[in-house]
Amino acid sequence: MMIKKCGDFLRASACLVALLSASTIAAAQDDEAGPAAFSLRGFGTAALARSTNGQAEVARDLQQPRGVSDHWSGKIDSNLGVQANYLASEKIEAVLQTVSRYNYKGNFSPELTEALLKFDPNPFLSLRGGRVSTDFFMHGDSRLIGYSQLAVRPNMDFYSSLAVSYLDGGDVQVTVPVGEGLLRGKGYYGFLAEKLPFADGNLNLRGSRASGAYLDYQQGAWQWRGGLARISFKHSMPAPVGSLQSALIESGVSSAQQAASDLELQGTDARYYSLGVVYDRGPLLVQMMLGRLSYESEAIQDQNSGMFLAGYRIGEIKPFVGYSRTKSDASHVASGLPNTGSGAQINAELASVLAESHADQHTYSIGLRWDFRRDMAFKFQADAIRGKSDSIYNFRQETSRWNGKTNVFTLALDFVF
Amino acid sequence: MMRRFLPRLIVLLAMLMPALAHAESIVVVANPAAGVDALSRNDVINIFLGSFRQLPSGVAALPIDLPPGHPARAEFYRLLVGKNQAEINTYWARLIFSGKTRPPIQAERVEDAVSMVQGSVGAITYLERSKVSGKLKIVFELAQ
Repeated sequence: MMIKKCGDFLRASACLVALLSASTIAAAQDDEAGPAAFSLRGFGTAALARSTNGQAEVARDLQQPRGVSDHWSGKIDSNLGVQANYLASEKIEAVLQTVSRYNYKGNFSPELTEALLKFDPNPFLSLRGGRVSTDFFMHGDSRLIGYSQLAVRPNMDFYSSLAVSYLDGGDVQVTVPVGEGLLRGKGYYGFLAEKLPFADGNLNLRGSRASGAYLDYQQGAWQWRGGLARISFKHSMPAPVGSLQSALIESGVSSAQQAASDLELQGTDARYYSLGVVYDRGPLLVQMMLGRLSYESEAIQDQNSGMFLAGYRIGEIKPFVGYSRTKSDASHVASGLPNTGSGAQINAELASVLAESHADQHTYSIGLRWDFRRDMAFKFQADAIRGKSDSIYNFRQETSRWNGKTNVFTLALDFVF
Repeated sequence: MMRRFLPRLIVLLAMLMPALAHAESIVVVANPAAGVDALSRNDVINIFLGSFRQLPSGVAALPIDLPPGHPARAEFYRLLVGKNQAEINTYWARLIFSGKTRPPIQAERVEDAVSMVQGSVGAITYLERSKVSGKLKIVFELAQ
């Protein structure tokens, strides 16, 4: 069903693109002075990564069901995106984008990541409707575009918990010159359409309401941003959380039933708070971000993260260093059931569910970006992840011997066309 | 004395000419009807990097880039924000593929950029100072 739907989407997109191109080539020929009415562009990354610890796989983000461990794999970072833009007038533009990347299904089937109409009535105002990319965190909407980034991938401690890439809805952006700089406010509202891999099934985010806003001030080389976003979950967690909840309820003990209710995701909110500062001028680029994810449900732990990245260009090569930290607050939910018989089993499952989203680690990164030819960049990066053994949120298939420490080496070729 | 040195001086000047030409300042030019006397550096950055595309007179700004690989294009961005062309392309990749802002229109030849500015009130481009004709208004200068 899902694949069929995706196929329909893609077919529709392809038809639309073909139609737009046919109708606009003539228009473009008529008016040579104006911008090209139709354009087809793309971006991609071919990357290989491996870690040094075979006791867990490192995933790029929550959307990936598996990760890489101690052998080279192109899975987590490689992708290909194609985008069609149609400029209907100076003020109206249509954008369609599909991206093939390693997804929640464990394959590279393409998905429609943008399908929007943009209307800029004047330089102060920009309105977008349709499927729009989300930026809950600063630069969060360009996470898939390797070429747009200094590092090989968005910082995993900071961005990997951003579970969504787009929403079906719209956003409004207002830009006003204030002092020597620009003050920009953006608000968005819509419904999510993605799924996340979870245990052997999926956490369905489809239909969950998402809204948020940020305020951004840009002056000279500096850009500051503060933002907040909210997701109201429409669906419950799948097994094993769902089956644990059933077991807790069936126990008939009120404290256990309360625990089942504390674990419920449906009808609860997640809130994203973020602060970001970027300095970007001349050869120097510095990014600093702080974020907090707070869940009403106890099924997922609240998480605080921060990251720092600095690069300095020498010729065409830009070496960089980074540091990041993420730590989640342990959930305290007790079933009140005795630790014997079926109670012990339920308590063990509860402890396992509560521990699943725990993160407590630092990452030190070093690497370089080499823009060796136009529209292409080669990157190398080494990350030293130093965490506690119970830090497993960003990892998959961890064994009992996982100690929370691994190093990740990545080679990447990013391109745009 | 003079007769001996003059040819050498001419040769020396001729050798210096390319270097002098390279050191020529880049100017930002607008249509005289745009109602703009001068732009600030921030105005030029906001217009060409797509953050806020309005001229101080209230006219919507339409920035035009010179062709890729044109020396004045690389020089313009180097003097404006200290970035090389790869960094500018990186910047645009972020905005284009997140469905936000369009980069400046890319002229195929310098002459096309000039005629677009002459033909459209809000159009704005940059040129080596020596390429500026009478029908363009210089609104900002990026000195070497």
